[in-house]
Amino acid sequence: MTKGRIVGIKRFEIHDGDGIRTTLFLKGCPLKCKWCHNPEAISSKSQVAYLKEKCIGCGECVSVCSAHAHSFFDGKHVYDRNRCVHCGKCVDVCLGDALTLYGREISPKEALKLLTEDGIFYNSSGGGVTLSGGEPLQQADFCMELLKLLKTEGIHTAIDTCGFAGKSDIDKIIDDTDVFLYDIKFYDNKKHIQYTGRTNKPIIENLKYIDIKGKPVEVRIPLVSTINDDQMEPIGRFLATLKHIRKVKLLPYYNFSSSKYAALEMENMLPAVETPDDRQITDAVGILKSFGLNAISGKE
Amino acid sequence: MVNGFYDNRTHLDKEYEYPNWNERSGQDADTLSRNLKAFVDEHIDLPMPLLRAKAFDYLLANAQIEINPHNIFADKVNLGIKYEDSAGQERFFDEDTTDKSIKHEKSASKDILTANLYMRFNKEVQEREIPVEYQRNIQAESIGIGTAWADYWHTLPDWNEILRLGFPGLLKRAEDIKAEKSSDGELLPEQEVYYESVIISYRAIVSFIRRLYEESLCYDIPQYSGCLRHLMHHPPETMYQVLETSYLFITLLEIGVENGRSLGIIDHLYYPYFKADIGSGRYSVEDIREMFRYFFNKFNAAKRFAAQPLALCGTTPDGTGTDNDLTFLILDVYGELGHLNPKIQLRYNPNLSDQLMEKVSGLIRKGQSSIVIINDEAVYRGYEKIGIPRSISAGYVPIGCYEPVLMGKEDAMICNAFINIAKAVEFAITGGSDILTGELFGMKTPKNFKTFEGFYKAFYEHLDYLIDYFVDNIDKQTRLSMQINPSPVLSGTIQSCMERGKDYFSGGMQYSNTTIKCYALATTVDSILAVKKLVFDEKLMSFSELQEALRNDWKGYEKIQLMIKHDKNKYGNNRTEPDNLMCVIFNHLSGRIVGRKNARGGVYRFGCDSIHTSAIQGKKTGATPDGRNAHEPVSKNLCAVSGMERNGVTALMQSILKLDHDSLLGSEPLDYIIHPSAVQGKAGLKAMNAMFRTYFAKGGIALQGNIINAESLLEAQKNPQKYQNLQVRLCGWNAYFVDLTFVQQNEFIKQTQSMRSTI
Ligand code: SF4
Ligand code: SF4
Repeated sequence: MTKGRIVGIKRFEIHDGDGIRTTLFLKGCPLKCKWCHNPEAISSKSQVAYLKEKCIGCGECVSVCSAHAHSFFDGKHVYDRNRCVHCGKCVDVCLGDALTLYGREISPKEALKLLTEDGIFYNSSGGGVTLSGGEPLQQADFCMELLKLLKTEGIHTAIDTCGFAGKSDIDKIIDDTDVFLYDIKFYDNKKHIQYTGRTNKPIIENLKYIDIKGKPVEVRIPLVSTINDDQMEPIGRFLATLKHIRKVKLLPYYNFSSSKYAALEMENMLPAVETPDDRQITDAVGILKSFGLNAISGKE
Repeated sequence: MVNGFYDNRTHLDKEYEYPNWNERSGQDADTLSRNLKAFVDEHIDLPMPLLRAKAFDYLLANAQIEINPHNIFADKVNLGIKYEDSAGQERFFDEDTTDKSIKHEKSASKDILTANLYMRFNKEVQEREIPVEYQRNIQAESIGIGTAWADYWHTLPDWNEILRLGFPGLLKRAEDIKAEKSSDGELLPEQEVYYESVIISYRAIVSFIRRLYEESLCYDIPQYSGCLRHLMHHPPETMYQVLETSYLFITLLEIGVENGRSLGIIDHLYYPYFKADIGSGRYSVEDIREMFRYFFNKFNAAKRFAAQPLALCGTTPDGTGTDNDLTFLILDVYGELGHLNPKIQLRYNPNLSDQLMEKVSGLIRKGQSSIVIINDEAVYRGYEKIGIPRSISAGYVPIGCYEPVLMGKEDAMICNAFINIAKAVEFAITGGSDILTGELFGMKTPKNFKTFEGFYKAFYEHLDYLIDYFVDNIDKQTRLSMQINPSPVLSGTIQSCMERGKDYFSGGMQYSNTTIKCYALATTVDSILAVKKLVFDEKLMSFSELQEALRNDWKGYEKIQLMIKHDKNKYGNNRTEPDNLMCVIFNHLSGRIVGRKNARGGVYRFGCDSIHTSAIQGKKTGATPDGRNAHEPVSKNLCAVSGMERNGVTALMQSILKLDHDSLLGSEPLDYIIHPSAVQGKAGLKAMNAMFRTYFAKGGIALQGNIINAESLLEAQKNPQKYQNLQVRLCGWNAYFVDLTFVQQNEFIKQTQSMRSTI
């Protein structure tokens, strides 16, 4: 059994596919999008986030950490990330809720138990479970096992992917995935490389492959002002060549996750751009619609 | 034909705050109050029903009245109520808050009849007849346990009869029955008194309508006068007359301290009139829409106490779904006005259309948290449990907050007591005395325990003692109803009361039930588990150290307090241990209460809702082992302790669904708090609809809640003037957030913050 490394689970989620869903966020992503809202999901390694403001100086962490990553200096609590081996002990005892462990490992069976807790809400709403991240296909074997378990329980499954994966990984999960939520950021490859650090070739190719296989796809485009708002036309033209694109959803960029970067001591590269206004969103939706696509605003 | 609501609005919204009494029409409120008092003293030897009816008559005949020519409905009578003190939506949470930054406005001065009759005789009669119980009741209230009442505050007239017979018809029925019984020689003396009280009251009402009519002639508004003239002689025949009848009747009930707590299922009740008006071309749909604007606006302008309930939908005898075009019209107007008074209680059954459910979801999401949805199936099962079949319960009407009552058949006294059962934990710890004052209440138990089992047993001993104490006190009080608060106006609408010649509260109804509500269950469960962990399992403190920690409000034990608060083993998160303990305690309570015979020939009903008492009694309750500080609210309804529902609304729902809902008979709302982003867009409405349907399909009783985020609440706390309209739902009440006390606001914010759905 392959263990999965997870960021967390979100229940009562309605934006990751149809109906009421539970979303499992997996850790690790091959892209480095500058606007990433989930920095805790980027690294495939475990991380402890420490929110200084919440620390009440109770000292519980110091007594449980055998790696001596927590200490008090001048009466103030200090956390030394370099010593930490991510055992999670301090997180469990922290009385200020200042510590969070991203990257807990769980087996597909354990995941199944957590993901089916809200099972009673799935049927009535047409919902189910969504695997997201990070990039879930970075842990394709875990996803494969988990999806199989979910399907045996008769649960609707969705995968939220950036598409940067090997074909063999897609093959592992495609049969047990009911719908793909597929992110497209740029059609222009140069820009793709500039803003995400990777080429978009496999992304485009994988989408074509999934389409040939006949799986329904909901494409999601983060709309970041001045960065990819010129991409609607080429993206639209490309998507129009595919057969199973059910929906294209535009997700306006909000600049609000900087505190997460600080808690993880990661460099914040969030672009300082305005959130697209309704007009910009409507325009972008209009362009996509002109290609015969079922485009909607994520705010709808 | 009917128009001008928005043009007239400036003269409508404040019509109660700034009345324009015709000073020559009667006595001013102070004089009236004085004279009424003298009148009561003068007639003190009359049997109470007659005294009551005569006082009512005196009031309606002598009070100043007013016709507002900008309105289309008449009702205004000067009872000295100060509406600018937010009569309906008073700051109802803490009465003696220590937070001096909040200006405390009291509710409307009690109206004249309440002050002169109910308040006076409630005290006098109890002190005379049951002095010991009366004192015990005061003590129980003062130490945070709660009060036993005879609940005269939640009644339901038979609206079918009111609309069928009208005011003169109700009067004639009373006169006819009395005459008939009298000529048959069957009239007992107390029946004679009863019928006479009804007749006096209804004569007073018809004369009062005549006063309004005559006053209306001063203005050139023929339709207005025509409506009043019609109602003096006939039952209502048009929608306009029906609405005037409803408003007038509910006002009169309140004046008579009889407190009708629902207008009935109005989309059904009014439907024939609606159809007839449209069919005959008398009024257009737009006319009727306009009438509802005036109608609803009145409840809001009058700041009716705790908001006036009205019900929609319900199951027809053939079991089909029951929304109609009037339902939608009513919801449209309601959404348009955006008020929280009146409040809507929607009877749910699975056949209700998605269109309707999504419309309702949309209103709730927009902030109209004054809508509560009640599951018919759960109510039917609750009635079955006390032996009432579906054929009878199908016609129930939710009243008050959400409590079902069988219109025309049942007086349920839906709030005889709210019991803070966390006190049973406290007493088990202290050996029977209040931890803050040291007063002994009830039985003595050991002050120390070697085993958890010993402590746990003591808890149940105190629990049983408390329940039995309340039952005894309620029974004794309700036997005194006829000496304290007979209700001739209400009884006059009920066929069985009229046939039997008996009052609504004293044997007139087919079912005379009583209701006990228990709350703070989550505080209790979490506290018992905390005692187990801290003292017996992990031995982090001794039993006497626990006593000391609680007595000192955790001072010196702060770290243990934090640890226990932080412990994840808390009720409300779909976790096995706490949820199982909840089931055990719940079953124990329901076993002791449901179906127990009361003193009125009926049975006890059981509820687990607290309304605002969780805050009021929490304020008087010492620290609890779950880490709660003294004076903080205890848990409300069947909710988790606030801040402890860590897994979101779906987990909370599943915790609650484990309980035997058939025992609750409609008296338990789940309060959901959902972040607006979680239910955005069309998908959000669908999700809300699906969530409601799932909860009900699994047996849930009632849902009410808030789609709100903590940030906007914090913002509203800082800038109240900008957020005057922000509504929140708290327990069975809805309120403007800015009207809550600081403590209450914080409590609500805390709960909102903890409603994370990520684990
Ligand atoms: S996660 Fe483990 S190793 Fe890291 S700081 Fe916490 S206790 Fe120490
Ligand atoms: S356990 Fe948490 S709150 Fe306590 S000192 Fe450590 S980080 Fe701060």
